[in-house]
Amino acid sequence: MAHFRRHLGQYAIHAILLILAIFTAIPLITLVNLSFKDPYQFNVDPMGPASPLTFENYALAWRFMQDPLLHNIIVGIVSITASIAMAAATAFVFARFEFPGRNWLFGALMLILLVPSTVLFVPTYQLIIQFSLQNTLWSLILPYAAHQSLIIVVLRSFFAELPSEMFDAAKVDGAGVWQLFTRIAIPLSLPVMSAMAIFQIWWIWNDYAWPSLVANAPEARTAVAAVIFFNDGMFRPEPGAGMAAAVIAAIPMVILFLVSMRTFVAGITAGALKG
Amino acid sequence: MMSQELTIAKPIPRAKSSQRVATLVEGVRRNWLLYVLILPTFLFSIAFYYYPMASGIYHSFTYWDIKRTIWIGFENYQRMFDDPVALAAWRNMLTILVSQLVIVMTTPLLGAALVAHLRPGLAQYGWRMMFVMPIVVPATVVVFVWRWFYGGDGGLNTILRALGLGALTHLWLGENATALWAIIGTGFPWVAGLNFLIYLAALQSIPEELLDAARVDGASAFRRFFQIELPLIRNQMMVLIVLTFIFYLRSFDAPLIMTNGGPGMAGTLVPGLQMYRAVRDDLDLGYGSAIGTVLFVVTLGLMLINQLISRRQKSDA
Repeated sequence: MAHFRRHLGQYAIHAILLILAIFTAIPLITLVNLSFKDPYQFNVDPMGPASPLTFENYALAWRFMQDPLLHNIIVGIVSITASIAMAAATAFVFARFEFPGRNWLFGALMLILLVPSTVLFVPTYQLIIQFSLQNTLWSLILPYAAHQSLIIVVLRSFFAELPSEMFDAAKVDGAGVWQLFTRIAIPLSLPVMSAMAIFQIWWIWNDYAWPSLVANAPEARTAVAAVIFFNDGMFRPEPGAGMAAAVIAAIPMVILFLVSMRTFVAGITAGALKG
Repeated sequence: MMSQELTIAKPIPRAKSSQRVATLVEGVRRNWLLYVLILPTFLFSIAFYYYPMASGIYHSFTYWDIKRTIWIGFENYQRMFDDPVALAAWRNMLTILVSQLVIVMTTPLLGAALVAHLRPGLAQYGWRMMFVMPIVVPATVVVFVWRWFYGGDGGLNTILRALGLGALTHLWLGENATALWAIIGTGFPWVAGLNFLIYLAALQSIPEELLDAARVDGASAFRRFFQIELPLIRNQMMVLIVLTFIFYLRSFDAPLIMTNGGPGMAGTLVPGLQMYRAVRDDLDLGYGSAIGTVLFVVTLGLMLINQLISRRQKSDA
């Protein structure tokens, strides 16, 4: 009897989870479904399964989305490489060395973690305008590259926990600070760095308000901003193509997730809890 | 926490100041490479954190349109408190925060508790994946789909008509009575995501022996959950609540994309969006800075609370 009741409980859990999962999935399935519909199907029967499949939607959306995707990739690679390189050096120095002013400087960096983006929004906009960087990729790369304090916190505690024997042996061999950093610290921290890189690319990919303000032009528009612009702008595409653009904007993140599942979840959890 | 490691910078008590300066200069000179290594981070931090922050707070007391800066004292703040649109924005914010408080404490916890109580195995892993995976879809895309759902010929009205409930159809984002609730409703049932993941990790870290003991005592699954598991994950829940508040205080993507703050003057306006619109539409950077500064103060308070909680959590562990 007890055995049966235990099973019953398990089935009930599966049933409730299934209902929650269906509601969770409906919008995403609907998005993909709509992206294959021609305008007639889209308007007459939006919720029914698409048939026949209209692949032209993707051809149309791709033409509009390829530049924004390229912008995302450039902004992502440049700003993440820069922020992680700078943050790793800083984290290494603060983790392994003593020098005058160390605590003050580190405290000043940690203060940044308490500054929410809202108070920075307007003045950073003014900076970008002042230096005529609006509608260039620099308006995204530079502020994104400055986003380092979280990476510093994570890498600093990683470097601080490395056993000092590792470094002592190299020091005996005459290695200086730079060699210790590039030959020992960096190779060991690659897994942590990749988790941080994924967290950075994820929020950069998600960021909408900032790019839509400073980079809302064909030369610099990012993928998610392009989805909204494509649908709301003067082009007024076929509705299915608008949905196809949204699918295209999401696909790179899905691929990134599938190839790096564990690192992806670890990176984003660390980012959300400490950021 | 680092002070005991620090040897060079500690000044010898009562040492002559010239001597102290000499020690300091010597320390800096000997460690010059370290300063060079941390320099890029500090340059970027000055340009994009310290300077903008000081500038934002200073300019909240000015009329500012990039070309001109005119000191006007508290006028921007005065205007904010007198402005019915700004008050409506804060009222909307409050509605959103209270709703999100209820949401973060219910459905992600329900989902996590259900998955945690499955027998370990492939099915449990599969459900976990199912509710983690949606975080990869950019929030803008999610908001975009929901905007279509809420439209006149959108998914929600289509479903209602198919069910014979045509009388219940609305222009969900276009009517004052429904627009704000439609924005809050985005993402229903709000299970998938980080909250779920963090609750699940917390529940799975509870030692099995604790629950077994209660089981032997004949406590039902519900009593076990509310009397043992829930109190044990209280700290994680507090952190998630604070993080939710911080997130929604500064986030305005959903109203920006779905309604631009409408219907009307402030149907779904929130302070962050008002700040954004002050910049984009009016180039009124001073007023925008004042809104940003108020948001900053509120958020800072919440972050300090968050720090206190996580510190307490560490000392508990």
